[in-house]
Amino acid sequence: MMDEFSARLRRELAYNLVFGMVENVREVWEMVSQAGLKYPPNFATVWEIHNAEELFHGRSELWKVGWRRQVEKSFAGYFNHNALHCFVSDRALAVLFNNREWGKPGEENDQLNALKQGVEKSLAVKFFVGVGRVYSDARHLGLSFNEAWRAIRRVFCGVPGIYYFGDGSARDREPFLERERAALKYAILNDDRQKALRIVQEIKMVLAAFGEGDLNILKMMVFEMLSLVMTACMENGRSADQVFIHALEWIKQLHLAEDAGKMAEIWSEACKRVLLNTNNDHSLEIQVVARARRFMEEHFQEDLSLSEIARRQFISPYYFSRLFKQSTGMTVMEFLTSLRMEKAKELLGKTHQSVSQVAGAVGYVDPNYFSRVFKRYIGMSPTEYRRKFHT
Amino acid sequence: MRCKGWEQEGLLRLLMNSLDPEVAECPEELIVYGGTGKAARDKKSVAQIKERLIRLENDQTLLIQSGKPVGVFPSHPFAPRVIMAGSLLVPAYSDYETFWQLERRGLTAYGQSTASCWAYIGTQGVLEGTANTYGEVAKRHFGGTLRGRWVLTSGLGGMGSAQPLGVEYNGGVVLVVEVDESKVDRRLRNSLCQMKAADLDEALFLVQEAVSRKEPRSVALVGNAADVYREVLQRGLVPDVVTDQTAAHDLLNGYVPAGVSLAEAVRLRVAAPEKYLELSRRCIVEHVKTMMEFMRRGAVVFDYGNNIRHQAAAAGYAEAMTIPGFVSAYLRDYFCAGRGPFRWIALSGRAEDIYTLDEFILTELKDDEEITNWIHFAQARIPFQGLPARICWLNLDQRLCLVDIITKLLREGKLAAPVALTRDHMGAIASPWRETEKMPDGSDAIADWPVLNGLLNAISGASLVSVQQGGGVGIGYSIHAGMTVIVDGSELSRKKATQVTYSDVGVGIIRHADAGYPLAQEISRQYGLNID
Repeated sequence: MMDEFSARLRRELAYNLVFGMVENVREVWEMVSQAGLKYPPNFATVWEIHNAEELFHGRSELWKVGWRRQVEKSFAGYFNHNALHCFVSDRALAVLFNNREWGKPGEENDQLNALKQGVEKSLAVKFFVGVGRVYSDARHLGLSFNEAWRAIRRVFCGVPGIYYFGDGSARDREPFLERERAALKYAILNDDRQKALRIVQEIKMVLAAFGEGDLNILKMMVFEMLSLVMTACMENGRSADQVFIHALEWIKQLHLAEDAGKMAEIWSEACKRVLLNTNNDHSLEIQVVARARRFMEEHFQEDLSLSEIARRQFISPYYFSRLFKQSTGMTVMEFLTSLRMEKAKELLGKTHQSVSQVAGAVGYVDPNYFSRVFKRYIGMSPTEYRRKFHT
Repeated sequence: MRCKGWEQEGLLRLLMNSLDPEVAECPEELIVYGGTGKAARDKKSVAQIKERLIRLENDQTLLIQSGKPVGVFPSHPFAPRVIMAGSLLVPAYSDYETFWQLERRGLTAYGQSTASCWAYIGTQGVLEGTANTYGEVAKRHFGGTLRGRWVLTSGLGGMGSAQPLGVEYNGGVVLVVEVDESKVDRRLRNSLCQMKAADLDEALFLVQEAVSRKEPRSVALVGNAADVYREVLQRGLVPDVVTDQTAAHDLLNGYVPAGVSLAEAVRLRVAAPEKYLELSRRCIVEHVKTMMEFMRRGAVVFDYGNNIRHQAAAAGYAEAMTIPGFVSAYLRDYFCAGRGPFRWIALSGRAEDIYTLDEFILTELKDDEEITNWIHFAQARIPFQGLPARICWLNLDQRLCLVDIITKLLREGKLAAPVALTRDHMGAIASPWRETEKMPDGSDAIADWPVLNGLLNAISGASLVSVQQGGGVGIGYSIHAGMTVIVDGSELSRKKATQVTYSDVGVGIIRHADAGYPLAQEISRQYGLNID
């Protein structure tokens, strides 16, 4: 029986990993070792209770606390100390696994299926289970955790099953179309329309150069790839109705097409239509970006770097910078700089603070650097600006 | 344990580790790293090697020819359990065309340096070397630090991906250009690079921001190196350091010419190889011309071991050879002193074994700041890939000290299982455009040394010995020897490890002494290696 201290240690480690709070590799290993795990976890899952509203309806807070404790106990029993778990909301747990012990995340993973069935039976509740991808560096489990959440959010039909985040990480040397398909799916799932359209064009060129081969095979290939695009769009939260409306017309034309050039054309047009004319729900992204904007507005006077801002949002700098640009059209640093410049204009125009003081007040340690940035953004030096606009 | 002794078991674990998806670039094709560097000829060979190692007695030796097991011979316990020769061709036939032809017919395989001899441990394997190279760049040109300096480079493959951390280690800012976005994403996921820029504007902004703050930062940009370098130049910007680690050593299967997308490259390589090679040659000339222009404008420019200068020279741009090579410019003194990339791998798979050894090294070798700084950095920043391992540049005394520490800890039960000691292929290599470039006596192309290295290691107690060609710079340009010894705590293994360490490092030192380096001559006298 695991003692309370050990359970707390494991829970703390799970939180630290899920929210990206450990930066030192050795610290990860030491915590893993203290928690009694053989390997650090390398993929995250989210277990969300099905019909939670119904379950909690009319129950007291005390009952809920007791129930959650029972859930934790039950999970601990099933994991045999080879996984970490912690509640991440009143109705969902994050469970962290290592694929050496639990198998790779994917449809063929029987262990996860068996585990889900066992847990559900013992607790008499059903779970939606979202599964993120493997990240060999445990410091990135926060990404896997986000993916697991997204996998659940893409559930359409409401069946409490296991949902895997689409693994689009193309391997270095796969056959051409397989690799492109994976990259295309990855781009769609990551909302990178520009990249998706670029890949569509690359595939179009290959299709057009198909030559004298069997056109029926080509037709099936195009059909299959269109299905992939549609599925990826829907997995990414786009409306199934919209996707079908835009794709069906082209699928009919594909049936009638008689040469590779025409099929390539149809492929490209259908994809463009689906990718450009359907919308999705970015609630998580919007929240992250809004939170980051608020954070920058409140802390622009500090010496902030992209990594620091991303760290405060619990996501990696690269993921965050892409998310931010997609959402706002500006890079994080452009946004921060424009924010600082607006504030600097205000201070220069309304106060008598020196340029050095203004620089410091808007987050620049080096006044010369501030002056250079100001000139680049506003088109004149801070002193000139003050001369012209001081009120 | 599946085998009849720890040497066989250790080597089997190293083979499987090379193919672990966390370690290998493309395990399904047996490709470990470096373009097409493979752990074995084909899947059948992997199965046969496994099966043979399991059955191998402690007085037998398995022979492997370019990744394929070809025989088991009676030997003796002090002999290697595995001997291999890889990618070797008769000198007059030693070119890519012949090699590819033979490779297609299944008669040979490209083993890079540490791929075919199962000593690859992931990016950490080249990290300290990269950090040392940039450290030397900093010492010689920038007063000992790269703080406030920026490096423009390219390539995030198995070797190149060490660059971001290598520059950060020295306090600098690096912009790395990589044509394959999936590689960029992988390095970001593994914390080997800090961030990815959406375009060149953003990349340069991030670089300039970090330079002005004098903060270490690594920025990756998806793009073609030749295009990006030219664009940087056209904007009138001059980085402090410019180099390149694209797969330029292989113009067909590695390098991607400008104007060709990655997908198109994969298609063209098969559909029109001649056309592809022509595009690569044309592009590499422009690529190197841009690097030369950076050099003329004051940047520190060097060839980072991918043979890019020679490829450009061979394509008609002879001036390319005026760019210095990284070994002759920055690392030669290390090799003269017998100090090079040594690595140890915990066969238990337990990270604690490596951390236990780290602690002992930090105590026993506490006076060597290069080592202690490195161990602290590695502990904090470098996640293990596959079997936990540590790389550290050590000299002969330090390596012998490590053999004793491991033996002692194993005997005291403080390590969970034996440890494999191995190294990169640098000390006695023959590689006229890299490790042996510009030797003072002109012996750059002499290839006797790696053969002597391999032969001597075979009689000195190594568990595995290999003699290979083509590592790093490509087919026809290098011959080198690999060595691994398994330390299991027994007296026999201690003797073997001690003897082979002495021989292995010793050959490297006398090779440099023989070439006329006073430092190597002095060190060889200290160890009693010279015959004068």
